[in-house]
This record gives sequence, structure tokens and C-alpha cells, in this order.
Amino acid sequence: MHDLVLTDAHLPQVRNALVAAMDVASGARGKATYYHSSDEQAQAVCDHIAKLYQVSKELPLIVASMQGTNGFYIQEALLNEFKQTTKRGHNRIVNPLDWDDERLRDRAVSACLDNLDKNAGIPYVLRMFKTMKDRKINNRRSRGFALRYILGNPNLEFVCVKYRAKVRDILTHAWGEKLTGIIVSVSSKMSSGVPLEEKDVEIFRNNVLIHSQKSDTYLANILLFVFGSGGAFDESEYPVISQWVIAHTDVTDCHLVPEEILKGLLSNKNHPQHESMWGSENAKKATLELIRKSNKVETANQSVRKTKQNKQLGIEVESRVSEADDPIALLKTCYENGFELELVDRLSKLAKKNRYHDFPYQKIGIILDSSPSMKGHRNESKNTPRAISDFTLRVLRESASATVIGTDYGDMAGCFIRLMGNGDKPEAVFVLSDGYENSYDGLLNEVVTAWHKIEGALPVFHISPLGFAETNAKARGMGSNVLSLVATHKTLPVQMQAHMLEADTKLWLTQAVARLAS
Amino acid sequence: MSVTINDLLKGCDLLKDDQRHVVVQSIRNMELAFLTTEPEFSLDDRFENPLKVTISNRNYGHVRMDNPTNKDILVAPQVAVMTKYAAQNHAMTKSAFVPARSGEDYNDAGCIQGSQAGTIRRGEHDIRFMPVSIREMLLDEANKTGEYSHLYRSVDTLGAKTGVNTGHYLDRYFDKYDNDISEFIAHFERPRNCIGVVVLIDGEIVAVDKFPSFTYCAQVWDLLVRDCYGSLAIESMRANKTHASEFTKAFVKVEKSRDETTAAFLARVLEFVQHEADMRVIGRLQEVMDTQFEKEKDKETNVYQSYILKADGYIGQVISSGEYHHLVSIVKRDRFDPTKVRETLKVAEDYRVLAEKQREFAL
Repeated sequence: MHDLVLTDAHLPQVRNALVAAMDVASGARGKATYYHSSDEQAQAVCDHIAKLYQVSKELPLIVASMQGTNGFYIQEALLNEFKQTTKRGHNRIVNPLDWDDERLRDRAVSACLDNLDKNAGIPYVLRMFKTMKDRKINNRRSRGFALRYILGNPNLEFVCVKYRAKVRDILTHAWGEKLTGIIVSVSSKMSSGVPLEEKDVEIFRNNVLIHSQKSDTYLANILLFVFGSGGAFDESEYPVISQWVIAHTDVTDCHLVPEEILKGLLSNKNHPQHESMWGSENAKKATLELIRKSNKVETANQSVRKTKQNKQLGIEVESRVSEADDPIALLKTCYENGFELELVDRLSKLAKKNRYHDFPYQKIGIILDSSPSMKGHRNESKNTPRAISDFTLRVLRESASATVIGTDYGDMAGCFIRLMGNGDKPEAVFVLSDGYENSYDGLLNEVVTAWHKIEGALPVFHISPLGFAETNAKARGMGSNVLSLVATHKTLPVQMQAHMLEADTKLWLTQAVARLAS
Repeated sequence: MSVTINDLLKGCDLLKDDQRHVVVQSIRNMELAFLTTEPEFSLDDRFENPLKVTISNRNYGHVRMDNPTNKDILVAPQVAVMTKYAAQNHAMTKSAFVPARSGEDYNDAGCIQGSQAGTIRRGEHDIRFMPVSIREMLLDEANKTGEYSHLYRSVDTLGAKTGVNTGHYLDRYFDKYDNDISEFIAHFERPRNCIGVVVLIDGEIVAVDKFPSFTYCAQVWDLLVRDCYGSLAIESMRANKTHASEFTKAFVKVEKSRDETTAAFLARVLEFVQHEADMRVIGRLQEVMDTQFEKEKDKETNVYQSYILKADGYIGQVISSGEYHHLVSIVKRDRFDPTKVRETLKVAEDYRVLAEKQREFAL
């Protein structure tokens, strides 16, 4: 257990920063909202992390390592950490000796990377490493993490096939153009059995082998594949790459190669099957059907999201709804194709699985805003806010006895009154909305204030599915008596906890640091 | 030839919610009420999306509108063409109509980009709506041909009203406020079956727009709210105007009875607030309903006639087919103060009542 060095003088500042950070972290998205572009949204998150780092340099990583933190936030927190040198910033929470010399900092970065990989997925991690090049981040520590992640990946071969260009960019950035050339040349020698000089062995060991548990010949061949410099790919040792090689002439039996890659190969006019399998709309349809029926590497969530396209193309593919575990993908599919029984059933199973066990309320009221702005940006991230709120509602209903009222025009005040007049008074009210009242801004707060005056306190939580650029990536406030949080179904309990952490910040931080250290 | 707003809005109703209250959305001291109509009067298939018009010009002050589609296009009130290359941006002073597969020339358009040289090439351009704050000035310039610089004054005025050093450059206004005005799109959400809008500032009607169909209204909605009405909200923001906390005021005013539940009481207060809003909107519309507009002929074809409408306190335009009005846009003149008119009418009414009470002169 690491002792905290947080002084009473800094406690309020750290507490406020943490509470605000949880708000941003759980809803932060670099995606566009109804009226803000993705760039504006992303900049708001970056600014927030930079400010948090100034308060205390451990804070962004503490927040990024928490369950439920959004992938985009973790990416930005890690990039911020990689960008900073050890001399920058202040340690106000843990001892700087523990943080730097005892490598608590590196363990914290590993915890965040792990969180990003498990909860957001590999594309997020690779995108983050790739962004290092754009942001001119290249130091020993960042290089080490990037190389360990890629070369030490248990699924290295598939990752290199599916994300070949990204992996190539990341490795080239980490090693530099010159060293990359040398490593590829050494790999080529190893693959073809040419004896290596001692210097070559040392280079390969220090830059490649050190980051992986795999054999040197295996890694050499994988590197040759990534950099397109030949290599020998035996089917038993490299099943994905050998199918990828076959797919250049015949895609019919390549069930281990991802669909996007097969489509890319076929759309090239020089591919021998281009005319027969991709030359007309009917041929494309038949080919897609063939690929989708045989593909073994597509996740159930990816497969469900293709329902609309499959229907439009008339492709009949076995539904994998029962395996899908991404409620947002399921709901978006419902909005596009209708609420089919199988989808609804799967959603209710997922809601049950995700229900909150230590939920502080038995009886709650829920107001669901279904106004047009909840549909997301006109061009980007369509239906995302709506899907987040919809699933949060389902999870809340599974966690407590709930009365739900919906509004199409953002009439939150009217809904609140109808909810409270329903007889069985709730212990808390949850307003699932982006925070725009169409009557006039602040009307709900006025009604809640009036309620408090007559009936006494009643917690009213406004759960916004997204943060806004104009409020520095936080929720759009609805007034002093309505607690606004940015949260999804995953982060809602954390969010509520965050507001409870104000009661004992030091204890909460001790536990958080212990989690990082472990 | 004259016409009243009553005639112009024939077939329309104020949009009401399930509780029969007028739907009013607001931001600060600006409110929008909505017009609706029977589906048969929403000519959804008759006209093409107005944003599909292709705009170009040959010289300054001229705008050529081409309709590449198979349906007629009614161009929404006062569009501006913003080019991304070196060419003088232009704005229209009024609405326009362009029959299917043909083109129309408008020589009363004007420059809105200072000393920028170059004409607009035919192709896709950024179409913006001119802010409603200067709709009056633009309409006053309608049909003044051969004057390329006649809209500069209105751009200057917009800059003064919104605190931007625009000079004669409209793009500077949009550059400064684009983020703010985009947010209004989320504030004002288009209700279903909306065919027009009544805009109120401080409870007074400042603009009325009626479109040919629900679809047309949906097609222009974002531009209408963001570019056109957004300027009024910007003015309110700069003047630091806020909405009156009407619920809180009513909460103090209305008394709770003993046997009434809190929810029922609050519902009654909210009902009171909504009723007041209904009365305000209906009352104000009632006042302007009989305003007599003189019709000045603008342009006509066998099917469509366009008129500029002028009254003491208002100015506008209507595009009709005989007695059927497709597109109406009206704005209150800046100098017109309805409260003064109301006071004058009240004094006159008081005297009328007093006169009624007087007995006949008898000897």
C-alpha cells in the first residue's frame, strides 16, 4: 500500500478535479453531437485532461484506469502521459519516489492500456499508438509500450493481417526509418537461413525479441509480412497469413481473413476474380453472402450491425443476435430494422446482466427524452445518444422498480409533474436527456425547486449520454437542483459514487492508488 | 390591392400539443410558435427541395438561379451564396421561384463581401439564409436593379446589432457566431406537421414564415433556425436578456388548496403558465391579423405571382397561385413599436366606453 502525500490544502482542488473528471471520462467521445463536429468535441476532452494533469500528474491515469471510462478518454490520457517528461507536473497524491523510482507510473500506464484493450478494443489502442506519430511523441517509454503491446500480442498474426498498415506505421515510428530497414533486413536473413553476424543478433534481440515471448524466426516472418518483404508462411504455423496469400488469387475458402480485407482485394481490378465476383451488383451480393456465411473471425456485434445491409442486399446470413453483447450495436440495429423479438429479448437479457446490484434506490422515476437532438449528429454517430439513454433506461428498470414517462419535445417539466402525480412517489428521479428543454431552459429546475419547497428534498439526476464542447465536455446543466452527469449504463454507478467520494476523498484515493499499483 | 395576414395564413392553425396548449419553444427572450395545416394543404410532392437550386452570376448585383430538377422550386426568403473561391458572395433581397428545368435571372440581388472580386461560377455552393434582423432592409431593396452595393448597408447594420466588425462582409458575422448559432438547432426542434413559424421577441411578433409544405419546412429548418432566426437570439445574448422565470412567478401567485396534492398543484401552476403563454401568442396574433398590406407586384408567370407586401409596421412577401398562398414571409419593421399602438388603442377604447356611458343630450 502506498501512502498518500495529499495535503489538506490541496484536498479540495483534487476532489473537485476528480468529480469533474469522472463526469467527462464516462461520457467523453471524440464523436460529433447534434451540432458540434468531432474535432470540437475531441479538443474539449484534450483540454480537460491537460488541466487535470496540472492539478496532479497522477489524476488522468487514475481516472483512465477506472472501469467504465470511455475509450477516447483513456486514449487521450495515455497520450498526455506519454507526451510529458518525468520533470513536468506535480505529484500531489502519491510520493514522487513511488511514482517515478518505484515505477508506479509505468504500472499505472499498463493498467490504463489494459483497460483500453479490454473495454474499448484493439482499434482504439492501435489508433492511440498511431496518433503518437501525429503528435510527435517518441520517447523510450512510449516506444516500449507500443512495441510490447504489438509484438507481445497473443494474437499477433491476426492483428498484423487485419491492421497491417497501422502496425507498419506504429513500428516504423517506434524504430525510426533507418532501424526499421535494418530490422527488416535481419529478419530477411533469418527467414532465409543466412547466418547472422553478432551485431545483427544484438539488434534483433534488443529491439524485437525483448518485447515478445515468441520465437525469433516466427517474429522475423511476421515482420517480413508486415513490411511486405517476402517471408515463408507455412500453413500450420501461419494459418491466417497463408490464407491471405491464397486470397490474392482465390477468396472462396479464406474464412480466417477478415471481410474488409477480402473486399479490398476483390475490388482491385487486377485480382483474377474481380470480374466474376465483384464486377456487377449481383456478383457482389453473391460474394458477400459467401464471405459472410463462411467467415469465422467476425464478432457477433459486427455481424449484427450488418443486418440492415444484408437485408438491403437480400443476403441471408444466420443471425448471431444471441451472441452479441454490445447493447448499443443491438439498439442501433433496432432503430434501423425495427424492434424484432430476438433483438428485444437479447437486450432485456443484457440489461438484466448489467443491472446494478448495490443500487441505492428501490423505487425510481425515469423521464426519457426522445426529442430529435437525441438522434445524434446529422452525419456522424447517428443514434448513439439515443441508444445510450435507451439502454441506461433498461438497466435502471432492472435495478429498481421504475415508472417511466417519455417526451418527444423535451417537455421535462411536464413529465416530472406527471411522474410525481402517479401515486407511488419515487425515491429519486432520473432524467435521461441531452439537457435541452424545448419550452424554456431551466423550467424543470424551477418545478423541482417548487417541489423541494413543498415536499422536501428529492434527488433528481440528469443523465446526459454525451458531453458538450461548449461545456468543456461535461453535461449541459439543467439547474442548481438537478444534478447533471455524463454517463452510460456502465458508468452511472461510478458517477454516482464520484459524487459520493466528496464525503471521503482520501479513502477513495487510497483505494484508487492501490488499484493502480496492483 | 391589399391583403391581411388573416388571408395570407388561410388554412393554417397554431400548432397545439396533446393538452391543446400552443406549442412554444424559447431561448432567452425569443419564442417560436408553430403553424400547421391539414395534410391536403401541405403540397409535399409539388415542389423540389429549395436547396437544390444552382446559383451563378454574370455581373455584380445579378443572380441566376437554375433548376436542374423536374419539379418547380420556391427559393426560401433571402438566400445568400457563399463561395469557397475568390468570388463576390451575393444575397437575394426576396424569395424567388424557378420553374422545373429552367432558370430565372434576378437583377436586384446585391454584393455582401466588400471589395472581393470575381463572379460566381455555376455549381454547388454554400447556401445560407440572411439573418432575419435585416430582412426588413433587404425587402426594402427588392426590385432595385443595377445597384450591386445596395445591400452593404444591411450587412453593416447586422454587424452593429450583433457586435461584429463586419464592414461589408457577411462572412465575418457567420465566422464569429457559427458555433453559437449551430447550437440553436438543438434548442429549437421542429415539431411534426410544421408548415410555418411565428417568431416573438419579448412577447411581440417580429416575424412570420409560412412554407408550401411540411417537407419544405423540414428541408429548410436547420438553415432557418441557425442562420435566419439565430441572429435574434444572438442579439438577445448580447443584451443579456433572459427568459422570465415564469413558473416561479406563477408559483408565488397561484394558491395551493388544502386537499390538493403537490403534483396536482404544480400541474395547475404549469397549466397557468402555459395558458398565459397561449393567451400571449394568440392575443398578439389577433392584433396583427387585420393588418392591411398593400401588394406591390414583384414577378409573375402563368402559375405563380410574387408580391412585396407593405404595411405601416410590417413588410413581407408572398408567392401565390391566385388565391392560394404558397410562401409567406413577414417581418416587423424596426421602427414599429406595437406597445405604443396598443396604448393608443387602449386610450381610444377607454374614450369609447366612456362615450357609451354618456346619456343622450336632452333638454
